[in-house]
Amino acid sequence: MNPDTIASMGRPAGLPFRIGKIGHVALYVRDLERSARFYTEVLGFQVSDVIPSGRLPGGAVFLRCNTDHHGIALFPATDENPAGAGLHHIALEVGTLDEVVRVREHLRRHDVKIDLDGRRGAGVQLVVEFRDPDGHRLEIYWGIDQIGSEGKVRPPAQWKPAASLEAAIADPVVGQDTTLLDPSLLRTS
Amino acid sequence: MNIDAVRQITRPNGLPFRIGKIGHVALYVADIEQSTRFYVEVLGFSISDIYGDDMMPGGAVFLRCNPDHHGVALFKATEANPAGAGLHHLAFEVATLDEVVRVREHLRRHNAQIDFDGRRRAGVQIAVEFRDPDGHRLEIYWGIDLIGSDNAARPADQWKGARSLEDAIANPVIGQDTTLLDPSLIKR
Repeated sequence: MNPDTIASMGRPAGLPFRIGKIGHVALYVRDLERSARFYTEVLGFQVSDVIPSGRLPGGAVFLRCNTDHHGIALFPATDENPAGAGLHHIALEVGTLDEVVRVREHLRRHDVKIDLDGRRGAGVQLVVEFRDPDGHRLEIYWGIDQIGSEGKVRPPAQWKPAASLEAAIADPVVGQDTTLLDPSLLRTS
Repeated sequence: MNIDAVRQITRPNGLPFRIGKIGHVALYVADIEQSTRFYVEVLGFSISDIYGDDMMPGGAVFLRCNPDHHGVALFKATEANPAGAGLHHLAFEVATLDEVVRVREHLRRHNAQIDFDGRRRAGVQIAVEFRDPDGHRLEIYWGIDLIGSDNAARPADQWKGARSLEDAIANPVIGQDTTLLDPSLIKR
């Protein structure tokens, strides 16, 4: 590593989005129940959603430490992704839905491998999922559910998974305003 | 997994701390230069600090996406910790220094493996580092440097590494008020 080369790198002017925070981290774990117990009973997270194994192989648990639907997510380890060293993905939040659309275009221009865009289930954020140079799975998102004092989480019947940003925007979940500030973005991308 | 059992797991009342946010994630990467270029030039992170090989084998880079000194940190992959699937550690912020001290006590009571407590270097947060059931390395911290509009990270000669909370509290870095709300916490 050449520290001088690295020190000379800088954020390019005019990037079409701004990542504002580390949103959540998803881990591979050997025993979902044991790990859910650790993150709640020892570290004080709260369970936002539990996905049964019928819906996702091995199931999953989503946990929150603030109003964001999940800060930590737990997935069962596999042969390919063992527990312990296992990172599932990292999620980065942006301030507007427009930026999610612009990021997809931006990543395409950089020939970054995009795994998915649209909306998954729990949390209902609109996402673009892609890889960093080592194959770490990254997610840039807008619109994750906020969980208030009553602790009430959106029922799964409202999740509306979507296999593209276009589909997710055209079919918003209850309470999610998917109007783009710049509606021409979807036609040009 | 027994879904109903997991759904019934709840946060106990009376925990001596409250994690407020995911603070940062540290990754093992194959090529620090290439990964820094990606996180900076493609994703728009800014560099807060760089460790050369003299400070850490293979080097490390600390990157921010907001005023927190680092949101992502990159470490050189090793045979034991290959790049790609490799998580280095996961850090959680609490609002007070008292909670960091209370967490150490709490984790000891739960027989969690504690790897480190005190202050490392870049970022100068005061931390307790420990393991989750799978051996994932976790950190609970208070007091990470915030980087403002001048983009100035703290100079390295102010870092004051400390190998215990007691030592870190007794020797604050410039601008860090390590007075405990409850001073009796570190005499226990």
